[in-house]
Amino acid sequence: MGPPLEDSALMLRYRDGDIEAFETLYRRHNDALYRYLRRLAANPQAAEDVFQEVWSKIIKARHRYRPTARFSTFLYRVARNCMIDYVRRNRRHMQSLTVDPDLNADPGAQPDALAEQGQARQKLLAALETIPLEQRDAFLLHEEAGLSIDDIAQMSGVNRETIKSRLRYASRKLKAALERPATSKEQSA
Amino acid sequence: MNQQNDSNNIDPEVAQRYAATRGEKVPGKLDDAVLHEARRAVRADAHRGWFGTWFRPLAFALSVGLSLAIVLELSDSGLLGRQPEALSDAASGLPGAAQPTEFERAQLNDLRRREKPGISGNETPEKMSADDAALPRSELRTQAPDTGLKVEQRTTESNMAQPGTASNDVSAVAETDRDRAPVSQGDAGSQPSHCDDEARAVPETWWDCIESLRNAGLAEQAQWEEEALQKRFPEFDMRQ
Repeated sequence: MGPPLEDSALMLRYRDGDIEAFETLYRRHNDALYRYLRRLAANPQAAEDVFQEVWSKIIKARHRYRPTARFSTFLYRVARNCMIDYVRRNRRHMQSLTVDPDLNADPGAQPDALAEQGQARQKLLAALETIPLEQRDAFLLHEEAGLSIDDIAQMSGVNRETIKSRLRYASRKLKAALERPATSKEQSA
Repeated sequence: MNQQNDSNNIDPEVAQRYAATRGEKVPGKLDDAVLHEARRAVRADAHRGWFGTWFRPLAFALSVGLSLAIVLELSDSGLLGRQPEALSDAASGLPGAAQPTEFERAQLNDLRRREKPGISGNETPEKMSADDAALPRSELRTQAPDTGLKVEQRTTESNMAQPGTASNDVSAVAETDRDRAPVSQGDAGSQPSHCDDEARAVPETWWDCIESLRNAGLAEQAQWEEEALQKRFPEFDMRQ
């Protein structure tokens, strides 16, 4: 068995009718993409709707796909645009981000550790909700999608220094939230 | 995960804590929906197969071929590039257009036969055969250019009204003196342009007819009829 194929090669194979190539590609990116959308979106339903829409667009675009850039850059650009469209379409119905702690729990952890992990996650995700959308978007693209600052800058239509600044602000706010004592809500979680 | 030069923008502890939240997975129903759509798209591609690959070029080639065939057909029939009048003329030759009746066709054939050079201009009406004498009536006189023979044609209506009346008009018309034979056209229906058989049967009635032609302003025709009368009935005194 040879080295794993690159994303773009898998996409080209899928274009030629190889469904297994698509499954491999999908398994590589599905969870990260879902988390990106889940934490960027105002509610879980929005994340699920946009997630399906993104992959539907990728499937339909298979014959036009050209491996000129990294597949993940292509994927998250589509995802970001879909999310923007979704927010515009559903502006009235959008609610603030709510985090379900059960979704973030590690099933193998002990009860005490689980509670501690839950509190830390809850703190971090609650803090993530409070930072401005541009900073959150840059942070998630950097941490979840693994995109470089240049890729994020190009995707967002701003220069590299702006993205670096957004990342620093987001990191500072999240660190401050983690060092802050847990609130009663976070402790109950 | 990130590039080395990018990592100093995010606090390592924050990055580590965030990495611990990555346990969240896609709901199974979403996985199933996406993979189902992907399989269906591939099946649709395979289903199209040869037809899907060749449909567009084939349709294009067929369209071009059909257009060329139509243009060639129009060119062959001569309809392409004609003026509207010419098109209507051509349309009269199409099925469904008014065609000459058998009787009219027979008349035309008869006329053509009479215009043959074999019929000399010196022949007298009496010398002409009965067949030739059966020239149908017509209102229009035509002149055969090669022989100088004057042929009188009558309207189809009058011929159809009396198809059996073989007249001696041609006998009279095909007189030797061709120069004087006028071509009487125009108000053929309202004014007499010649004298009929009944009038020519008797010199007196023929003369009356000639007078009426003269009164109608057809002096040339009247003169021609008068000469014919004189030839046929030389004993008739026109000065009476």
